[in-house]
Amino acid sequence: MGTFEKFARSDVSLLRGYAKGDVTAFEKLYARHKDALYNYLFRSLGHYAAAEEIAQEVWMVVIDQTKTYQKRDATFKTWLYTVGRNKLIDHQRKRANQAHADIDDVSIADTSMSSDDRILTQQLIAALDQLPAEQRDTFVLQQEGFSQREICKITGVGTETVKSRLRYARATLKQRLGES
Amino acid sequence: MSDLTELYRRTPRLESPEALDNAVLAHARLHAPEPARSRWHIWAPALSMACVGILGLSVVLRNGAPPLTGTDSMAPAAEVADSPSITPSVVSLEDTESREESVTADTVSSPLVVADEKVALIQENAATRRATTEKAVAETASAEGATAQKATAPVPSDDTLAGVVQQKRKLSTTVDAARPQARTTLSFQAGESRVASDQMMSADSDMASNTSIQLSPEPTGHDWLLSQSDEHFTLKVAMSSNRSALEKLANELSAASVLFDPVFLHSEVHGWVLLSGSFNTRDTAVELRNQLDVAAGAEVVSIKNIKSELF
Repeated sequence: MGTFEKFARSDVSLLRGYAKGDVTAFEKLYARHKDALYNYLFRSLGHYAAAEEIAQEVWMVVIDQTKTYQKRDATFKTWLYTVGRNKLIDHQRKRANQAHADIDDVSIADTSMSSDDRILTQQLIAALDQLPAEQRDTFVLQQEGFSQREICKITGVGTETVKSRLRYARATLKQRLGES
Repeated sequence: MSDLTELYRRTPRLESPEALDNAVLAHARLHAPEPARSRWHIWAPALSMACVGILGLSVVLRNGAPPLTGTDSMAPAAEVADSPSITPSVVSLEDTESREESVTADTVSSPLVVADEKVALIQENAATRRATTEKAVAETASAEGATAQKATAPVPSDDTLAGVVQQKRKLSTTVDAARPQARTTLSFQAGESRVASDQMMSADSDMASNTSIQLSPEPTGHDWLLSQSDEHFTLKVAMSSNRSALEKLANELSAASVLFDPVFLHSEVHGWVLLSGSFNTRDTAVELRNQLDVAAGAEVVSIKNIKSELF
């Protein structure tokens, strides 16, 4: 943590500033978390458009619930990802109800990536997509920097369950990526 | 660090699309809560109104009714220092006869009016004496040719001022005597007169000093009594603030007439009122009236129907 980051306003402070009408506070808050949330959603879904759509819905919820937000046991980041995971589950239920959702539709069309990065990302996304949703969410959240305790709060399960999901997810991913 | 973590971090971090940023920020600006007004804006009107109210109240209280000092018409304290010192005292009411003859109680309106009248009279007397003094000084100065002392002698002498003070005392005693049932306190302090009249309507305390019996003022007589309807009658004989005097009269009337049954009632206006008993017929009332004429040696002054209000 740098010198300036140490004295930066906390997430809750920025959110309260926005609740008092300070739009710039929300802009700072959004800039702080937008990429991490988008990557979490994208790596959980493997689809740009869906990640963008869900990310927008998550931020709409944050904006609408700014006035009613009360500092809970969890931090703002934990609350943000909890909302994102709930939206993610809703989206996955809708997709499951659809007639067919082909993994080939997952688009890795970012032209700014090199060919190696694109292949690596495509392999990782493909391997993650084959995981059960609970294992995938738990693994991605851990890779995004959340502790097991925070993952427990976001997913709403116990510590042992989180550990179990992580263990199974790692084993499956190693197997899939080793094969590829 | 496991291989999976290394592999995950090697994958490029994606940036959120610009379209998403624009949409979210636009929504945030559109739905931004209104800036909260500071508490000063909430309390400012109430505080300003309270300040104005306190200021107005203080001005009103400061410019309230002025005390009865009368310093404009009174001599300075230094000039009356030679006069006999008068300590606050209660002027007792001793000469009740002269009081009743000079002013009746109904003519005295209030203690404040009495004080104003006294001050006005004192001012008038002082002005008259001052004019007389100036005239005498002017004549003396013209006779002796000393013109310098003529214009600079408006201040009355100590004798004159002492006379004014004495006159004020006399006047206040006279005005106090106008109240048969009032106790007036008159005090002089440092050249200022302060009249604090305390009217105490105490009939018992004045009963011993007021022995006069005032006949009831209603114009009645034998002819008037005969003209009344034959109903229940009550005779109102006399009134006085001295009940003992009325009791004496009642004894005389009772001795003269077996029909006389004295009743005493207390009136706020007349003090005590002596009533006779009630009579069933006019004839009995007339008979008693005729006997009262003889017994009391005075006219029965009032007959009223018992059904009407006596007071």
